[in-house]
Amino acid sequence: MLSFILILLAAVIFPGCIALTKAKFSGRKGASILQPLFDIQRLLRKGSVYSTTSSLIIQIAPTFYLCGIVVAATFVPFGEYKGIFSFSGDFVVFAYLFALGKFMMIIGAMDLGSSFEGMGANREAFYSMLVEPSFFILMGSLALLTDKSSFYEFYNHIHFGSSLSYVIAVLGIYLLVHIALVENSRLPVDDPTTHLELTMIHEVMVLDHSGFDLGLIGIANALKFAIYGALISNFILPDNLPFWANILFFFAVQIGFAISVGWIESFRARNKIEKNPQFIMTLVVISVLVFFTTLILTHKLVLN
Amino acid sequence: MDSIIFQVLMILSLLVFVVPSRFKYLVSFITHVLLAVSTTYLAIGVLTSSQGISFRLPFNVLEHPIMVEVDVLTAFFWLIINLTCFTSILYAYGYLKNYRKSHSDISYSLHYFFLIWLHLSMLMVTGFRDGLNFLIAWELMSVTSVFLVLFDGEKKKVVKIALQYITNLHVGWAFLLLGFIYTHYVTGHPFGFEALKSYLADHESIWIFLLFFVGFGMKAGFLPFYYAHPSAVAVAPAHVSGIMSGLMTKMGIYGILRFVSYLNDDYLLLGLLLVVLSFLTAIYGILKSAMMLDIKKLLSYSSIENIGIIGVGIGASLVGKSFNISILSSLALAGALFHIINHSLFKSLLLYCAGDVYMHMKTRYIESMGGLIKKMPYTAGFFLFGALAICGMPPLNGFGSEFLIYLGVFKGLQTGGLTSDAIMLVTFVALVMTGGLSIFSFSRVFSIVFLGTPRTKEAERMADFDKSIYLPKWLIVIFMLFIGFLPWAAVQSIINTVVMSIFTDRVLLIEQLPQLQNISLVSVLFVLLLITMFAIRYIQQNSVMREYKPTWGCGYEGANPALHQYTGTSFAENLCEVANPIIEIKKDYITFEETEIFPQPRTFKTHVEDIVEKRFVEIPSNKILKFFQSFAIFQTGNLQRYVLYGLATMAIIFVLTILKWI
Repeated sequence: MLSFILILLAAVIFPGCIALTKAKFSGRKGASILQPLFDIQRLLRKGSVYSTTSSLIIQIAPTFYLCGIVVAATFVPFGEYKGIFSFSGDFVVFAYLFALGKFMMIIGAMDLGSSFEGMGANREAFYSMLVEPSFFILMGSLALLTDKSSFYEFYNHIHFGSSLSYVIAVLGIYLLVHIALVENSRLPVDDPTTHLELTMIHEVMVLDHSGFDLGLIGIANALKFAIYGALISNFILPDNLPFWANILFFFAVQIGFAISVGWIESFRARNKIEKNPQFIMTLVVISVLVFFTTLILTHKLVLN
Repeated sequence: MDSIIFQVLMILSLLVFVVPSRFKYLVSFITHVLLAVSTTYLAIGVLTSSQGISFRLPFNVLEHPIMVEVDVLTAFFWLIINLTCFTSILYAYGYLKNYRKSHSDISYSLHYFFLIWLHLSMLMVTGFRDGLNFLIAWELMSVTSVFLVLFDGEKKKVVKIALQYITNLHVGWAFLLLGFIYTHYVTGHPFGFEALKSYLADHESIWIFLLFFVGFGMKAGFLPFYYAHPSAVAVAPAHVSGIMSGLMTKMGIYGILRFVSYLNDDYLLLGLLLVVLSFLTAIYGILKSAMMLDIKKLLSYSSIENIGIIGVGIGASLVGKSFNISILSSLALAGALFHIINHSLFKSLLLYCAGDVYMHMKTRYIESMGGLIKKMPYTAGFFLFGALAICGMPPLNGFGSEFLIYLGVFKGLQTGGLTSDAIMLVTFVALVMTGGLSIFSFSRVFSIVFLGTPRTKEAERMADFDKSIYLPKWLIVIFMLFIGFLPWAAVQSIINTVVMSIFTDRVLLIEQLPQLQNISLVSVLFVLLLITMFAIRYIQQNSVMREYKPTWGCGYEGANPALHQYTGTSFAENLCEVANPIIEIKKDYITFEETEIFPQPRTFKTHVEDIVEKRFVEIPSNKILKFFQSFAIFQTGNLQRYVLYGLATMAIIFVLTILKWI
């Protein structure tokens, strides 16, 4: 329960942190950190415009998306506290709930019969297909390392002993950050602020969504970032700290993650769209590297 | 008792020819129901008591008695066969009504007759252990399915595809025959599975496995052998496609499972072989499915992918057995068996929906469809349900089977050594990649067929269906929901028994049941959350203004929305670029010259070229055909020449006899 509440709180400030970071790096004053929250509040009160081409699908898709992400958030632990659900193989349910949300968003976008949304839906389907293996191979490596098979047990049994285990932690964090960037369609995979059709993925998928549904999508995006931030913070949460220190550390990691996303977005150019598959498959290769490192670490692969 | 029922069924199947056309459907329906109910009763008895039943059929074939032996594995398959055949005959009522004008009574009678015998032959294939009976039942299954495919045999293309299909089936049958003959020759035990069992007890299993794998793989649809199936499934009537793609492929899996249950050693090699081949099958199947433009062919290639998943589960389970990781072997096998049930359910549902679409559009080409959700909303809803299930989305049933395999693999990672970990990596990468690709493929087909604007005039008409076509689909959906929300009920009752019968050592399956109960909890929470969110949304929407405007077209007034939306080919294009070495999209067009001041009309065509089919099927078969065509010089059509050939042969035999060579 605790980790779920913490994720919700982190999700409130996360998009604001990113926007504020980007503003500061561009020399602007920037809006308040709660501005995205106010935007979502406004959207939830507004009326909606629906396309005449669309059917029931576009009206149900964002709800499925949000519910999938909320239920997925119940699996994430916080330090010594389990998530609301914690069982063997829960990370599989986690990943597939995310995938359910994506599937519904893809068909919701195609429902509009527009080439814009079709493009976004197509790219979303393609890139999320390419990035799935890296998440699972990372989880496989953790299962191998810790002899356990649920999120809670992974994080509580990682012992940082030899230098190789630090390599795994660093690479794991790198992978999670990049998976979060790909799944939320951020730079360098896609620039959410360009609004040029040729480069958009997620932004163009929601072009014809309005009002309540757009608000739900905004909530879902913020939650997704907060969930990945929670997964990253669990990696580096030190043991044996008092409770209040753990919470501070958690928020420090979330804000740090948001600032680094803002930093990447300010200074890194967007990839050429043709190069994106190569970029994403690099992540898969890195995760296979992590797997082999784990094999070495557990003395199954002996290099003499 | 059982033999009396069998005799009644034989008479009923012949009765179909005799009754007036009003009653033909009724007679065949009653036959199917009788068959299903009696065999299900036997099967449930066997599964609950874990004791096999055997009985003799009342006649002999070639002075050979026919024994039906129902053990746990057979009972498991009987349940699946009966359910799918039952939904198929339910669907046939509405589907076959469309052919009243073009097909005669005798055509209908033959169709119903072969449908009954297909059902019966599948039950017999899983029930017979004697080699001769098994092979005859297998042949019967193949032949009846070919005749069912030929229902639309007026078209030349259908005949050509059916001929290809029957060739494919017979080659597989020949391999099975070879395998049985060899095992009987070496061991001397009764011809059939008995001989196989005793052969595997003493001898190395890899070569005989390859022999049987080719035979059963040609039925199941593993990678090098799938070739004729997708086209055959595409041209068959929809209820037959549902049986062929959802059920007959499982007969091949049945054969492999029975082979595996007789194994005593060599688990690692066979497991590795099965994992690698199934991995390639699954990836290739779903890759092709993501690029197909024929809705039923697409679904058939997706079946190949699911067969790959089942094969991966069986292979992982064998690898677990070889390293004595019993949790891996039992969970992976349970996942594979569970997937057999799930796949027969959702694939038949998807094919029945494709049948509806074909009934309305009279074509299977998806690029002529679009916006059908407004014309046939229930079909679209069932198709979406099936698509979500086949991608393995929680809370539906497809997730449960994949979850079991994942769980087994991850538990196996913990206790395994280097070899098993490497194989586990391949296994779960296979599952993940096929999951991602199937989301791609099914979101594509659902969107192009049902969403957007209609691409042709035919797609703009309202669909007018007989209400009976929804009945089998509701039945399947109820089963899917039950299995999806209560996976532990299915696993505990049925699958546990089957796994224990195959791997007769101690099984840890019962200890894993709490995991599945957690999934039920998560599914229920998800649905409750959905209902709450929809309620909140409904209240909000009623309090605000809702407008309906055209889709944003970036300000272009003259745009035709049907032409500007995504097509099936364009959706698949970036996948093709990544899959380039295996599958390519070839573009046929002529560029404009610089000197061409007034451009002439041009056409632009794309077609998908497939390296595997080109190199492994088309080029070798063309070479073989060319070789045989060179013998055409002997076919002069001249009667005198042929008499000369006969005379020359007799002269040669005469000379050779004198020389005492023959």
